[in-house]
Amino acid sequence: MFESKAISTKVKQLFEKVNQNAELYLSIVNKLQEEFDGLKEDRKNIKLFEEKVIQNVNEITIDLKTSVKDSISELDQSSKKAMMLHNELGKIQELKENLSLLQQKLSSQSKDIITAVEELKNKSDRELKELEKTIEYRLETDLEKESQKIDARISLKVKQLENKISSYDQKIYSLNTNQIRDSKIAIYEIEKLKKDFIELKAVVDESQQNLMNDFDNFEGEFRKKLYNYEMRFKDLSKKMEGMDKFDVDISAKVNKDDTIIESKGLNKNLIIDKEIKKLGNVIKDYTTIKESITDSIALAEKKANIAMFLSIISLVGVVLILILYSL
Amino acid sequence: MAKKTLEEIERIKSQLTPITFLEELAQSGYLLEYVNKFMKNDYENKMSFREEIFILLQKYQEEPIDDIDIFYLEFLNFILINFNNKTTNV
Repeated sequence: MFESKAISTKVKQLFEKVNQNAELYLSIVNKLQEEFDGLKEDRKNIKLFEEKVIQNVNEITIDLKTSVKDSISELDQSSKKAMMLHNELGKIQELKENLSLLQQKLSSQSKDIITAVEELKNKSDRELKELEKTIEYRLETDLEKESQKIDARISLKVKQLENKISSYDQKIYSLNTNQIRDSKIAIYEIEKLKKDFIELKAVVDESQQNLMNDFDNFEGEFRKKLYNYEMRFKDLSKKMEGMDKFDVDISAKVNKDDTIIESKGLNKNLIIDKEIKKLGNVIKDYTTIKESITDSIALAEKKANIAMFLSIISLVGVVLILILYSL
Repeated sequence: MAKKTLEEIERIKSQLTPITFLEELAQSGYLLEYVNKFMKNDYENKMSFREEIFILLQKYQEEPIDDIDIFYLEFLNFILINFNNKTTNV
């Protein structure tokens, strides 16, 4: 722009001046900015310092407040204590004065009391002696009267007791005789019950023995029969085997006469059926006899239990009767 | 070196533009007269055209022109007013 000749020199000079001024202004502004930044930092530091100072002041004020409060409370307490002590001191002084007065009074009164006590002692000694004499006289007279009365009562009571003892003796004698008679009856009854019980037991044992013998006999017979049947069964099985062999020979040799073979098979089946039926009957008889024996054993046990129960009840009754009589 | 020569070539290429009719008039020293005679309305009202004319005049004119002085002084005045306003507001 400044190289151009179209712009006048005055304008150019003006622009140059403006430029110089602007540069100056810029340098001043830069300086101002630097100062401003420094001031900002200073302000920040001051603010931080202020915050710290405020915090410290707050802490110090809190501490001061607490310390002042504590010292005030201590002062209050100490002043209260001092006031109390002052009041107590006044009271003590009053009490001291009262004490001296009371001591004086007491010393004067004590002399009066001592004289009064001595007088009283003399009087009481005299009265006591008189009383002792009168009481001794009264006691002697009353004792004599009472002893006479008690003697009379004791003699009366002794007589009554003697009468009662004689009546009780009679009663005891009669009770003894009755008791001996009752005990004899009870012993007789107990012995009778014992005998009955022994007889019953013997009968039960005998019946049980008989039943056991019957059962043993039956068992022996049954075993014998079973043995016989086993033997017969073995014979039959042997015969059957023989018959089977015979059948095989016949089928091998002559396979014509089928009717004979069938009739033999039928006979074989009939014999087996008969044997099985017989065995079944024998087992049935055995079970019925076993059941009847168990029933009769149970009945005998029941009867024995009943007899035992009755004998125990009768014994208890006899014992109770004896206790009642003794009472 | 090669980079520098390339940059020089680019600079010369950018300067290599065709000479316009107005530029020819400015070289011969008749541009301001021509504009005042035939394009006065555009010169006075269109700012872009006025700026183009001023650039050509600054390039080729040998004598000072009052319009350019006035333009620059107005511009300076405007800038100083703005500066004044901004500094006073701050």
